[in-house]
Amino acid sequence: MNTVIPRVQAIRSANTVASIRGCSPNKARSSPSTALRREPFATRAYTGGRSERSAARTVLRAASTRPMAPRQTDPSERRMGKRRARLRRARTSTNLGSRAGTNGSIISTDRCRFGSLSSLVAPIGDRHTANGLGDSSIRRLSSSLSPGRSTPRVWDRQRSLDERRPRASWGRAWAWRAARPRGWVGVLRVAARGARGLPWAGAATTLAPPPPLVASTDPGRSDAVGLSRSVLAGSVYIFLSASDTVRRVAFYVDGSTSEPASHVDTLAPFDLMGSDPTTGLALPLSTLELRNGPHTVAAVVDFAGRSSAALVARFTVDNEIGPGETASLLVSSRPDRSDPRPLDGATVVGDAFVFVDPDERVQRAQFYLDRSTNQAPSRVEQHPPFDLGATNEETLLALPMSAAELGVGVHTLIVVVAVDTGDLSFLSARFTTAESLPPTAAPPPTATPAPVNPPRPGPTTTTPGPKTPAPPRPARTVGEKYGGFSQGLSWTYRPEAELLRELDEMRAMGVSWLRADVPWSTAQPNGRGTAFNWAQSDRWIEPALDRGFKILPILYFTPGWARPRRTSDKHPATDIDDWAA
Amino acid sequence: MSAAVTHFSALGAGQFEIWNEPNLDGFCGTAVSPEQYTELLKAAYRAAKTANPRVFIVSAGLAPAGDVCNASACRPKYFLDRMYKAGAKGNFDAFGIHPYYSPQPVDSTSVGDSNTWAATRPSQNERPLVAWHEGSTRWLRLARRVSGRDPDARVNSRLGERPTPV
Repeated sequence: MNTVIPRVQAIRSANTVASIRGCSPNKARSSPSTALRREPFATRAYTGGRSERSAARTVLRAASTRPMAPRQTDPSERRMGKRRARLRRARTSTNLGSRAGTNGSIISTDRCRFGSLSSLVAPIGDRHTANGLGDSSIRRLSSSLSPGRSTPRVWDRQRSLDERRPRASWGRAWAWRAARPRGWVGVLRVAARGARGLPWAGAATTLAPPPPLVASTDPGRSDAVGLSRSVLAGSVYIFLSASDTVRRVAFYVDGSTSEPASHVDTLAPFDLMGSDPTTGLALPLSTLELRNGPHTVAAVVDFAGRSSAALVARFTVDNEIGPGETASLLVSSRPDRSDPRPLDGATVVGDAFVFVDPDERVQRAQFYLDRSTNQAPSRVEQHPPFDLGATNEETLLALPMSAAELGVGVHTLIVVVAVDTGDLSFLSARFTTAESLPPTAAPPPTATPAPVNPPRPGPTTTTPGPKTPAPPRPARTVGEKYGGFSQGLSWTYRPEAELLRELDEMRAMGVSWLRADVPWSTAQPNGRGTAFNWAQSDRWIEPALDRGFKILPILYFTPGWARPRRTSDKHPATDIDDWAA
Repeated sequence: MSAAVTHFSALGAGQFEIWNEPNLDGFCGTAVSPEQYTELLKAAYRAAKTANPRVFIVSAGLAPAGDVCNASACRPKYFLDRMYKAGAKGNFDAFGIHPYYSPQPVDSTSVGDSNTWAATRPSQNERPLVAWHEGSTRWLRLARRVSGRDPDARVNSRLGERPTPV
């Protein structure tokens, strides 16, 4: 199973949404005149409309050569009715073909960065080619902008991702940041001086923003979360949702866009790793192939009309699986490799089965037993499981390495492991072979558990303070990763010597967790409000904690007084407050 | 409950499990009732966290059961579902399940009766129920650990990180 953990997502402010989406269809329709009237621009004046279509209309109207006078001051309109005047304005302003090439300006609010101004305008032009507006008029429109000095800062910030740098001569431009959400998303304005003394000719457009990069753990792309700032592990499916304006997406994982794209997808939804052509399911990105840490996916999105935008999402890969869980050398005394313990520092007696801790990343293992890696390996294993003593291909059981054949003494094993990223990693262990185990009365050396509990305060009287320092953690012991034992009530009455021996044996086996019942019924047998006596459970809990076990006490069993008559002690308490006490 | 938590967390125990396999009538002493168990769990959680906010509360491990939910047995999936409906959310730190998964591997998606873990998943490619109810993918991460090749170790090391005994 895989994970996607949404952290803080960049949320577009309501203001920005308004400026991207447009405030209302009505506002959008009237925006040209507003734009002309008001400068500096208010967000509202520059919203192009709800859709790309209405945004395009807005631009074409506003890009009209003839500067449109404010409504009230147009003498010809005074004599018209309100509706007629509006219709007339609409007619004249959409007829751009004859007027293109003088002045006008383009304001784009977008969460993208554009390669050039013409590419910004192009999709609008394409849309309106049928209306008599060709690419030529668009070019003239663009080039008519007066040269300016400043380069928009929004472009600057994305320079590394942009090969096609914007030309500085496209006009005076501002990066307007009032309505931008966090990050690099900005509102871009390009404006030019008008010809007839009007300070500015303005136009507004919004291009529908491309869908964001999202990640899912499901090849069916369900439950996707924003990729930006997420934490990923395992296999994930990164994609852009289908959008009617996006035609092609080139993905770059941790790379510059000047390098070849890691994948180019032309089929919506656009998957980072492509999709299965028959099932349509996304192909996974294995984050195991990426190093743990921050990574970047850039997507260069090509819109329908030759404009493009780049999206960048930074995310973190965290495949760390906890301490002591990376590939390591283990030894077991059974061919099925059960109950393994780390080979390093182990004392091996009789037949031993040495193997590389199974790890999906490991693809090949070369064993060098008591020799340098300059020499030929003593054994090469091409397939998991990787056993020093070879693997029985039928049963997948390990074949033994005889400690007797090795000779008594200290040995060194080096294993060169090929990881699926192509990297090699080195594992090594020093172990001792012996004819018999050292006396087992004492727990194994790493277990040497000094009492680790804090000095015990009087029972149940202290209230735990938040500042109380945690006691030292017990030393990690052999095979700690290998689970625990669960027990019922028997530790509460087992003879002490037997109990302690059992605990010692379990510790020696590498058991780290103990789970057993802690009966309420015997701790408070005398009725509501009476004292608790946990001595029965302390019998095993105290020595277990002393030995460094982690424990999971099961709070269980209701005393007779707290439950209905003729029910078992597994019946919950009648009064829940008795239970909570 | 609070007495036990106070006592044992003073000794160094950092986590507690509340009850055992309440989805079988043999272990709840009465008719199986997720709602009743949820009340018990809620009370225990409140009491435990009041006694020591740093303890880690595991809900009772659920046992495998057939595809039923009646007075004598309740499949973990249904049991968990009803626990959440009864308001269990936020009243446990970890969901206990007894992974009697043999003979299938623990991450098998076949919802066999013997595979308790798989039985908590509504179906293939869906999130485990806990994640579903919690509305969080943090649980997925835990689930992934659980479904790893060494489930006990992963869960244990995970659990082991959290509790800090007083």
